[in-house]
Amino acid sequence: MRRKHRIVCILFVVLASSGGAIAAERGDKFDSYRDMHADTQYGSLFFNEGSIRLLDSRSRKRFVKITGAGELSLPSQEGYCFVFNHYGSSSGTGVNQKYRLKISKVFADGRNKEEKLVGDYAPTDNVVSSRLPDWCIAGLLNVSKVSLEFSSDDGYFDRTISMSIK
Amino acid sequence: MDKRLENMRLFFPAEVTGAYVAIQGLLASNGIQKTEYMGYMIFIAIALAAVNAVIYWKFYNTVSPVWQIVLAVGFLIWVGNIDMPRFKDLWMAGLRVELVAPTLLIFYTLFTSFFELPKRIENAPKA
Repeated sequence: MRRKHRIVCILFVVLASSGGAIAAERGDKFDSYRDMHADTQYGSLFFNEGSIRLLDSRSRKRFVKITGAGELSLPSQEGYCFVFNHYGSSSGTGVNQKYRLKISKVFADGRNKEEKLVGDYAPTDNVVSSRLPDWCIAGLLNVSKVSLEFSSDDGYFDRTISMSIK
Repeated sequence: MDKRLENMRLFFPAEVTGAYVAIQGLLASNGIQKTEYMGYMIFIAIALAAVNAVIYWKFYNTVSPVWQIVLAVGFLIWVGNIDMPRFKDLWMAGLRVELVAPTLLIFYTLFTSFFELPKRIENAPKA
């Protein structure tokens, strides 16, 4: 009986720790391109809080770092905008690269929809550069879950996060 | 440093410094954070520096271009100090704005301590 308890406990600990490892989390906040670029690594992903479209995102500096990959909890918004740190690439600057995003939406009625976005960006050595690789996700009416698959030519942006829409 | 900044504010007409502070407050009341709308506030600062020059010319009889430049530079240094977070992303100066702006303030107040500032004409309208 005691052995059974021990196994259950170990199983619980393993499951809990593995669950933590696959969750993405919100981390440090940055209010300027300078601090965001200088204090995080090239390829870091950020959620631009409060922005629901690109025009908003490009005038706001409310970057919340997203660490890890997997299920992410974000505040309820009409849309979501994300940016990447494109400063200080170890493979140099000035050469245009492509970034891609695959958005998979699961609707409340069970339908699925996939969208693919592609854009260009140039890794920079300008710490205050405002020309960030950015994306916004809209059209979330009746969507229950969104999965985002980020990738880039140099591989630094590659990660997948998912969100449940409230 | 706060005393230096307050002393420096008195170099400029209250109409101009008050207008900058009012626009800062307007942004804040519209939910705009202290580091956002940098370009907009640079435009406002340059426009107010021009208004400053006109006020000095009309109400202080300051016609010397050298004085006008000194006063315009001083106004921009004052703006850089009271609105420091806004200019974090300014090319070159933004990288060390927390050092650059107060250093400029110190040198500016030292430099201007050698000169007597223009005085407002007695009958000039006040803000």
